Amino acid sequence: MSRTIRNERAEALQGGRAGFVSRVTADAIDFLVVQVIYFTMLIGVAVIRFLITRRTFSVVAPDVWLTVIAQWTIVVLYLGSSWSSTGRTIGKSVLGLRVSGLGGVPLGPVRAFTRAVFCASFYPTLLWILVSRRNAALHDAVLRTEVLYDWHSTPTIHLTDQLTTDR
Amino acid sequence: MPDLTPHEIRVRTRPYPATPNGITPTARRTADLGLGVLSLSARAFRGAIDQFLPDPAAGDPRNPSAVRQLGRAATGVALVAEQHALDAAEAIEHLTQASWDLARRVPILRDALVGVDASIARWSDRGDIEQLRRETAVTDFVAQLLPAIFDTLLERVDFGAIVARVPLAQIVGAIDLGAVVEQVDLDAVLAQVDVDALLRQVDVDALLERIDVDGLLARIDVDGLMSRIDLDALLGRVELGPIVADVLDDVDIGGIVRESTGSISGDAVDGARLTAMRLDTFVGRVADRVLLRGRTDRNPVDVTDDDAAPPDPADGPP
Repeated sequence: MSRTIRNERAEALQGGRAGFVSRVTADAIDFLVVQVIYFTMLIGVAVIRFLITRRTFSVVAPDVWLTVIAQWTIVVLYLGSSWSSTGRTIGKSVLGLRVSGLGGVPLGPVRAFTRAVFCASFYPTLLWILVSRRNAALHDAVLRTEVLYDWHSTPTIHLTDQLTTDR
Repeated sequence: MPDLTPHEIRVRTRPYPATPNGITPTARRTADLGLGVLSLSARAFRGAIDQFLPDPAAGDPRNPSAVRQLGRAATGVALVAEQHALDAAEAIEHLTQASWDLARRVPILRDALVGVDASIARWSDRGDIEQLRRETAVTDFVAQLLPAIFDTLLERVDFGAIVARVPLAQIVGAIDLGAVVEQVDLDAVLAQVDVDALLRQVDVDALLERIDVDGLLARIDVDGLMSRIDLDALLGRVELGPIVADVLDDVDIGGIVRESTGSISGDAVDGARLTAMRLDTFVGRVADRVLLRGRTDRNPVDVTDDDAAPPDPADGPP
């Protein structure tokens, strides 16, 4: 599905590299999504337990280490599968962003899941965007990936490269 | 009608299946028709003589003389002979056709007959064309002759004298119009009238052009008319419920709401994204200032030329 962009500046920026605010906002939405998934799983476990034991319905609060491991796993699976398929998580599609390799090529599963592990383990590396001259987080620099403004669903021509070569 | 012909002397006809499109069947029908006409004419002639010149010495017609009987018998013999002759002709035609068809199936003869067939067909076509030419000439001749004859006739006929001899007054006087009208079933007549077809033939535009609408309206007392209308009673008789339901059925309110809310939510999302884009640029600039470096190409296209964009960090402390 391709949609019309009514704002001219937004249209001009399509294919450009996304900055700190957009990416953090998208990540915040993704964090909420992960929490929803996690708590849905907890409730699901509680329902199954209730159906089996037939005792009082109660949602168990797991230990902190279990929560951390579970959420880390969910984050890796969620981000990796999203990036290797459409290049977008829910948060990124709300903000109109897309994760890709340099030049706008779609990410392969290996690179997508490596990036997911990186993000889930060392999230503060995102702060490198502020230092980077090309809006790249540390994991972007290492894995040669980038996050682009892409409000269209179909991949756009990589505007950044075109304009850089023009200069 | 009872069958008057005794079975044993009835003439046997068509011993062979009729040849399709053959000569003999046509000849048989022509002969039957001609003999029938002859017989009728003779009978009519004899009847006329008997009526207008009656023979005072005529005896009982059921006891004819021997000579008259002989004449009738001769007619019978002749008719049977004619039928047998036609039967023979039909048999010969049938045989000829059968041999022709058989010859067409024999290998060598078939090839020889192809030429004959073609020749026959060619001459038949030639004959048809020539006949058609003559028929056309005759038709043209008759077409020119008939008007000339009628013109001559009409010139010689004195229509005034003919009309003068018709007793119109007597005819009209003899007709009892009342009785005629009474016998006419007007309802049945009107039921057969196609009013739609009649109305289609009416030129309504021309009719309306002849109407003086202004004059008509000037003669209408609108106030008086309106004062006579009981609007409350009228509205009371109108069932608004079904009308509103019909209108609502036609208007896709759900679709309108979906479209407008979709557009509104789409605009809201676009606005949020654009704000995030501007903040990206702004934060990037601030970071560049803090790191004491000039403009970087974090993004090739900037949105800071927009008035609504966040203030440039150079304008004041962030």
